[in-house]
Amino acid sequence: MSDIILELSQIEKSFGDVRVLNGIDLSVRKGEFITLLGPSGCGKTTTLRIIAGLETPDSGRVFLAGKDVTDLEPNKRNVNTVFQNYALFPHMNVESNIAYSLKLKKVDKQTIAKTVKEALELVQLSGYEKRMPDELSGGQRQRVAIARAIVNQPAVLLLDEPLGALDLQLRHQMQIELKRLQKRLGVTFIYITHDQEEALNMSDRIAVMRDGKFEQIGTPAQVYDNPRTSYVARFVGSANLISGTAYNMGDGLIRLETDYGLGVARTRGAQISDGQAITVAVRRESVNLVTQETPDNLGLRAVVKEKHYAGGVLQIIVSLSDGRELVCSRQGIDSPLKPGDHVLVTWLPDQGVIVDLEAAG
Amino acid sequence: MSAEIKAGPTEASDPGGVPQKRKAALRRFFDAATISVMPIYAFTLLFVVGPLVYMFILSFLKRAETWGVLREFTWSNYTNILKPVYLKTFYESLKLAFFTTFFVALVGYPFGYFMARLSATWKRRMMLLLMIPFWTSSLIRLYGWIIIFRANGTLDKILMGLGITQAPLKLLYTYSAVVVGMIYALVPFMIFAVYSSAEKLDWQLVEAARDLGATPWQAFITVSFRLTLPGLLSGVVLTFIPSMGLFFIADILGGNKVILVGNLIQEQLMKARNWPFAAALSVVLMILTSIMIALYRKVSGVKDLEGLV
Repeated sequence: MSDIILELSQIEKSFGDVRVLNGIDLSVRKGEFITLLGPSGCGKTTTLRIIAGLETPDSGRVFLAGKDVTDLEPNKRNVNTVFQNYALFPHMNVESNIAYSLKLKKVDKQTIAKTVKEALELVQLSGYEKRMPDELSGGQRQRVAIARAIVNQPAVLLLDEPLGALDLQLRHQMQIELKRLQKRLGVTFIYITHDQEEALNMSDRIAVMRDGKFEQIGTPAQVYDNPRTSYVARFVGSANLISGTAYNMGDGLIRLETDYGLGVARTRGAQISDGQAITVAVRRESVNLVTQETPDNLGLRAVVKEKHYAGGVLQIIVSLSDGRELVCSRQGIDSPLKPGDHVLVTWLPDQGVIVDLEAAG
Repeated sequence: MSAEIKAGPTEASDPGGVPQKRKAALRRFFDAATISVMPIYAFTLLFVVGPLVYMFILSFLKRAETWGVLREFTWSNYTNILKPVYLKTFYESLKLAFFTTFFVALVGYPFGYFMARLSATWKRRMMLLLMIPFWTSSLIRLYGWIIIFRANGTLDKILMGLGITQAPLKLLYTYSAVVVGMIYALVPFMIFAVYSSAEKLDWQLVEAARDLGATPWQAFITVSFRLTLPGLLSGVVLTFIPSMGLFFIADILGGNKVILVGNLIQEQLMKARNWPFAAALSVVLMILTSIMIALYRKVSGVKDLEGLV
């Protein structure tokens, strides 16, 4: 496949006794926006640094546009990074910061001036050429860092939690801008975040990372609707996880028998044997709470524990007989349910996703 | 001004008392913070400003035939400095100071720079190693150099033992011995100054430079060196100024062959008993060093000497 711009093959990396990357593989297509999503310490920054050449893997290879660049110095790679804290040169003004890579390449002055001007227009900072970094706001520094990284026309742009230091509102705005910018430039973005919402909003594909491995790689819809593991279900969708015993009901449906009652799920092609212990992930917004008896005795018996609003969303926390809690969320409407009410927790078969099948097998 | 603003609201609530302004001023005068710093002011006035003023006045007086000074105004102490023999001393001092500073920077900059890159434990160990010599009197440490430098001393024995030289070098009481002594005495100040500035260097900036296409050397020049320059400059000031006045190093390691401004002042004060001339020499030396500091501030744009605090 010729449109693969970046390929990681069996990358391993340890710092001292700590194994940070555990043999990761990744193929990135040209022009793709791919997000490495995971909690801090999962190895996503190390992955990025290995791609940039700032870190050398213990084993494994890095291919850029089909060429093995594993042992290439960072300055010899056609890759640029937007650092987490921007890393703008404090002794240079905006113009000099952006022109830095071009000056090193000995590009002529007119071309530099023109490129810098275009880059500043692109990030909507025209007129800020002479400002020093400490005279800029966080969002403006962010834009300068992006401008500085793209003037070199890198094959791949690496972004290490670029929005992490910005406030929520600005972050939403920058998400949209970054996505637009990426479409316009057609540059491949490898984006790091621990914010699942950011990942879902912006990415073409998401690679969910855990303990130095990719847990699942897929489109936002795949990762969100079809989590492969309980970890992905919890991290990306904050899903409820319900364990029990499976029994096939035919038509690709299974019945989930638990200590609290019955649930359902679709097999989606997986081979489940009767009596197999499985875990089903159900997202918070897919959970229904009903007070009447259901047909087929479906539903888990639970007691409403508390209700609260979180940003226009009503969350109802119910507890099962053994104290485990499930969360149900509803868009901004109040519910007649009150703490202490007995309810049945149900969901549609399509919304119960069986996870951890490979891990169990 | 701020006191007036503060007094504003209380005036309304407390009418007809002592005039508020005075009350506020008194309160400010007697508040704990002011009183606690008073001894420092008193000390500075008594032991720094006082002697300086005394020295300045002294430099315009005439020398008495037998002892002390005559209370008569004269410019002659300053015109005296313009004599070739004294001008030469200033020239020699400046030359030695430049030499010393150059070598101190050559040794101290890389030392301080790489020390800042060590792990926290090694930083502490290096710091301790650098501090240990200061626990011994600098005079005694200088006598150590005599043992090393003298004919058939430690250095000669090592060099001749290795067959590098055949005869003793006779380094003691030469210009080179003085330069080595100066470098030895002053290099820690350079190291500390560079270190404190290199410690603050954000290493991610160097990575950013490398990421943007800089070779290690280019990244060093455009980022690391540029950002540690204030440390180097303050190290230069911290080395250059004392090296003008460290008379005892030239005395002990240079015999009577190397005469510096510091030596001259000491000689005029202690041996020739020409206090006014010694004072005039000191004033000129102070002006020279003040110019250095002013230049430094202008170049680096930093108000405080890094590494001093």
